[in-house]
Amino acid sequence: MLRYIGKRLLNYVVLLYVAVSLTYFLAATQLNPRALFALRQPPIPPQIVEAQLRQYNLSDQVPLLERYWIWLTGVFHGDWGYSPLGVSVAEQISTRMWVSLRLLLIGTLAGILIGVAVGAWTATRQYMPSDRTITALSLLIISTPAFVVGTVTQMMAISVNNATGSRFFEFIGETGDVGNYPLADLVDRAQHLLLPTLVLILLGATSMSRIQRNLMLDSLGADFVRTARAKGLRQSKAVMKHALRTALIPTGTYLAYSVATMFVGATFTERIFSFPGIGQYGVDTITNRDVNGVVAVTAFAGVCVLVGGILSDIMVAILDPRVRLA
Amino acid sequence: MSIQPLKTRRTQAGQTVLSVRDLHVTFPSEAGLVRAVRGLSFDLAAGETMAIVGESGSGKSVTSLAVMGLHPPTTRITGSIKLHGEELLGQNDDQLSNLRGRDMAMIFQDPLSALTPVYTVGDQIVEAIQAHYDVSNAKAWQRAIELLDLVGIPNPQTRVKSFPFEFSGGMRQRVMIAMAIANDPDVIIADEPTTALDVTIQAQVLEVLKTAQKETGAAIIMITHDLGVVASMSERVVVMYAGRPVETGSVDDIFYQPRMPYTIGLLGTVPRLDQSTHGALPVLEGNPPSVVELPPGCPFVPRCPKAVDRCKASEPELEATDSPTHTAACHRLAELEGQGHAELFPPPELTTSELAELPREQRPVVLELTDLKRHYPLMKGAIYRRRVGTVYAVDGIDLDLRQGETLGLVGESGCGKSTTLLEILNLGKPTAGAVKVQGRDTSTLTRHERKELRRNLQVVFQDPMASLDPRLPIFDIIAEPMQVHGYKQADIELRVRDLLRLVGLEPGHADRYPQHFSGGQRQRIGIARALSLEPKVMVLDEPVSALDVSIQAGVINLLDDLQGKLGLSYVFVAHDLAVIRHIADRVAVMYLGKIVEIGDVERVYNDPAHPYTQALLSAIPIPDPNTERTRQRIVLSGDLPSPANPPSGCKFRTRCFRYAVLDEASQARCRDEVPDLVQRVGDQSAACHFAGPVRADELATR
Repeated sequence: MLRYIGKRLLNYVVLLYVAVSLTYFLAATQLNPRALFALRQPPIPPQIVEAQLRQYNLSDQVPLLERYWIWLTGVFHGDWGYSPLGVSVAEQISTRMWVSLRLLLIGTLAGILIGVAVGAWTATRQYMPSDRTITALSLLIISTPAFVVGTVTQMMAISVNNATGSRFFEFIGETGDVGNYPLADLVDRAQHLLLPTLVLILLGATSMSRIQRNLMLDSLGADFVRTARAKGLRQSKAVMKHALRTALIPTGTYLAYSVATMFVGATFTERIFSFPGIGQYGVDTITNRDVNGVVAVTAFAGVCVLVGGILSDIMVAILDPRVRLA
Repeated sequence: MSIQPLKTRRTQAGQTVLSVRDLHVTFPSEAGLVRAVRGLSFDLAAGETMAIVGESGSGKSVTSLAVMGLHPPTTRITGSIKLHGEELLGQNDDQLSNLRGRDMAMIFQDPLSALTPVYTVGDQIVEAIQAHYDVSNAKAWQRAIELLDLVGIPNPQTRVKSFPFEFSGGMRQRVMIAMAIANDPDVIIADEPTTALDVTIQAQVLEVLKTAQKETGAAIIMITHDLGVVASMSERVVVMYAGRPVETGSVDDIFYQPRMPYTIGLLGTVPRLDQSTHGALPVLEGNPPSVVELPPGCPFVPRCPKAVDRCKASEPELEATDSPTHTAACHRLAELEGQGHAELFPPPELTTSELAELPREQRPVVLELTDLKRHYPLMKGAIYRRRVGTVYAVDGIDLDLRQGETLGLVGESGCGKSTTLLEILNLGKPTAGAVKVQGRDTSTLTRHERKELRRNLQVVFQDPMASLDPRLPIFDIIAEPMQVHGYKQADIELRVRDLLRLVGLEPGHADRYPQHFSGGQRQRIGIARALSLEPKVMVLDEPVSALDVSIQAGVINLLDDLQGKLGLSYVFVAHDLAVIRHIADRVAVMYLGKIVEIGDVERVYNDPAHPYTQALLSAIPIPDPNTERTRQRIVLSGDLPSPANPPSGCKFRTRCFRYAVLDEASQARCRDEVPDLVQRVGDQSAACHFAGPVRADELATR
């Protein structure tokens, strides 16, 4: 088992290296950091611009392969380079990573769990009014773009705040005015987290419930559930123990995958609620022509995906004896 | 091998344990109300075995689910179902759950999907016990081990911790039986328990079921379409047609004095393993009716040769015939007495080929396989795919097929039948050896030559539903091969009509889609398509096994007739040895990629020389209760070994009953020396060092 995972890891590292290198070539040839300085008033002398670009290994006058080599040796020493304006990429990622984690962890996990529960429940009530209502609602939410859901929630929060005259709902940034009582810091953070978490749960749970409902329907109709019933198990127990347990195998892989990749997947939520996380950073690096930043975000996303892949492999092995023992 | 009973019986031997009265089961469907069961009554005595026989749609499986209370919630059930005299209809799910698995248990058809994949078989048996009895874990596991031992699972102490996927289909069905008898039920309902299994495994599982019944004294309701299984297992029979019981009686009444024309026809259309029947089979024309909107009157009228106006007016009730326990539902019982299937369903005339006059040796060889081998690499790993071995799917077979003859290819699943067919159809280069079609070695063909040769070699598949594109009208389906080969459009139109007529379909129906045809008709469409290019050789891959018994005979007759008319040669793959005996001239028995016996059908069936052939023939239940009662069956032990890791020497020795009684020196010969096919008298060869008839001492040791 360990040898197997080790082998896979090696495979992943090679894969990651190729993907990141390709991104470097793409970003370094397509993004033009020089343009950042072109419109400055007063104009900056070209030699100074060139010197600054060369300092950060961004000058298009240096051959591409040479820049790549410098970048690569840097990466091996833990140096992911700087933005054209001199901000350390590694520092950005390491602080923003935690912002994303704080914002997304609860929402993502709760979204999946609620989605699984709702999906499994609606499957047992297929075509009944409750199932149809939940199906209609979740399709409505799924087909609404994330930024609309976010903005509408904010507007609703504002009207609640206005109506009650309180500032119960906070939705700008991670922290705000911290009160003067014990654990005030924590309460403040929780207040700021509430709305984005709700939005994440809404988005995650609706799509997860669709997936889980279909998985559950497949296993509800399976012969082994009928066998369990023929043994004398009550409907609820046969469903929980036999149908749900089997329907959770694909969900397990999905769960492992989405936990690992959540860092880079919530650009809109971060932007709307002004959380300076990784997702926002990814977009910013592109608009700011930040070659090293783009490559670092890609590498980070790649690591997340690969970790998700390994986690989901392990998860399947735990959940499915056919994989574990065959 | 005996298990402690968990409880005392509530109903003593000889008394009625399950009583069903006027059962009606109706459920809604897209097409309208499905009246799946319409007035079924029977009494099941404690410890007896009763069979419910019928074709698909006759209502037999619906009955079993209704008795268990496992029908879908939209189903409406009326009548009465009494277990130990206690009414089951109207009880709520909790009350029924207390009975299910304790007083009545069920064995389902498909053992591959009936066990939960994520729990060990031990977990699942223990769950069945603890659902009803407050037994400690240790005791329940101990009982699970005893049960597995009882149903013949080797090493039950370790196997109890295995997951279902680690068992073969036959072994899983044994686990299902162990689970069903875990709480000493009074009634076991077995719904087609062996239909999905190979014949040798079917024989094992039926033996296990008999053992289980002997141990527990349970009554069994055997639901099946296989008349051989009925004859070998049951004491009483209920024949169902379109949701109605049409005849009931003791197994001897039903098989020897059938009275309802449907029963008579059904028994007559089945080819017999133990009789050489040539010429046409009696045919039950038409299809079982749909039970959605039944017209008034007897539902068998459209297929009954003796129907009169009275039959169309009202549906006949079951009435007593010669004895009060033998009842049949037919308005003309008295008038038709004494008429068998020969009078009621006279077989049609078939065209006989002029080739039949010509001795086999003088006919041209149309297909020849010489030392054909097909090996596949055995790969492992999802990402790091690596070769870990070789699957010897076909491992050196020689065959020749001459014009106008039928070669049957038989063997268990995994023996290489299908691979052989694919190699023939592929017209390519096998791993080793050669395929010659009409004298041309297929490995040396150019693309163009291969396409030309392909016209001479056509195929009919097993599943008539899956092998026709549902989005094409059958005209296009039949015309497609001709379009590919550049026939003129005007010729195609004429020819499609001719072909439809040839296979017994209405040419006017050419613009209909496959969904408008029944299974038997679809198989005829598949045959018409295969015939469109006027092939010389037809490869038939289980062409009748997906069809209902009463439909099979018509398709078999059609194939027979076409052979006579067109001088076709057939390679006919089937697992049903009775069908092969009827249709084939020669038969080849395959085991693990090798031919173990080949020769003239009559010689091989009457005097099989290879122990595997003997076991295979012995495993098949014959639709004749008297024969079944006196027959001594050879039951092979174990499953087919993996073709990736075949035994040394003779591949069959691990399961061979003859090997088991040989002396040490002879056994060494079987282990070390691969037996060659050796010709016996006439057209019969067997690959066994000790070929010959079964001896009494070989059977005695079992």
